[in-house]
Amino acid sequence: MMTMMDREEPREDALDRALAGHLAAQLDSQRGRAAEAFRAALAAGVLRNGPDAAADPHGHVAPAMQIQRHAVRRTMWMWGGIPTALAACVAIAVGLQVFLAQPATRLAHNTGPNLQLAPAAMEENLWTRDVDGGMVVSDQGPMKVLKEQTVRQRRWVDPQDGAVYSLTEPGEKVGYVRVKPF
Amino acid sequence: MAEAVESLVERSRAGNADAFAELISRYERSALAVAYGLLADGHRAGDAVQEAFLKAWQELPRLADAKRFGGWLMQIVRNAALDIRRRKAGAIGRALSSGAEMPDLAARSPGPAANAEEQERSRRVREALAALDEQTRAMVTMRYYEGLSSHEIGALLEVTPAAVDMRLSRARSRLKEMLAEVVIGQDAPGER
Repeated sequence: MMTMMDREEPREDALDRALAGHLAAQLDSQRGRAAEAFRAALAAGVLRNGPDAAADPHGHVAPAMQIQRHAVRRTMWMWGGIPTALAACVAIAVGLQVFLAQPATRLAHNTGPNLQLAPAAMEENLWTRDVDGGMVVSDQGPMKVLKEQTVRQRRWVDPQDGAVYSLTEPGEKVGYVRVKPF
Repeated sequence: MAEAVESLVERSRAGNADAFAELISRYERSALAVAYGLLADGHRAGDAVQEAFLKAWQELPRLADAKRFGGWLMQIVRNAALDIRRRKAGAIGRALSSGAEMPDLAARSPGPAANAEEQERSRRVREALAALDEQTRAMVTMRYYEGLSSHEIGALLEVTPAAVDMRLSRARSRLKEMLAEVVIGQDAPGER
């Protein structure tokens, strides 16, 4: 029979393993990003340091002006994006209403009068998430890659035999945003 | 023999990118730990660390004492993490659907049951860590993710090793209590 002390040690180990495992799962995938971004920014020539940073032998735009200019661009990008996103939401909502209203008619029309495959119950889920795709260097300097991933899942039941059908559609939109120069 | 940090800092100050890349390599895990302490989110911690190292490269000429590089860098990481937290504070939720997790279509999971169990375990550990204060969470992360000693953690966070020990001891008791079921679940079958 195990004593209390014997039980305590494996639990200490288990706690260590649980914490170490969770933190590694959270943080290991982030390693290497900083070095990659540093190299990318250096390659693009927007990152300088040291006493020479004030002098500008190559005629680069002063950092403060660059920051201001990029801030303006970012604001414009943001304000341009909001109406687009709203319009997309409205389009999806309208499209969904049309789609949900139509299947019974469409199926009845396509399959003839003897088949009744119109879904009695339908459920739709839409997930979206933003994913940081890291940095890339383009002709216009370093850019951050932002991915908007979506998964749309529709499930419905065939009233004839109770079978459940499911349709899953993954999607991804990739956007590029100029990074703030330092 | 590994080059001393002071030497790497001096060479970085002179504009040597390789020396700075070596500093990134040496301090990345600690920086992630500090950022994770503030943000409790791995991905956002990665963002903060990326910004912090770029900022550190720019600010390096202002560092008076090369020996203090670690503590100085962690302060920059902390500021970057706080900045990200402020920016994200008003952000809208990502999942449009209620409750359910986004299906990971690319995942090669061992099976739904094992996957659900792992997710549940991960959720509990995340919640337990989130219940700690920011500095303690950073210390716990440095200890369990990077395996740093109390002395090393103290040097980076600019607190005494005794204070680190005290906080880690309290945190450990609290985590053990909060994660009792997870810990029991991880025991080998013969030990139950």
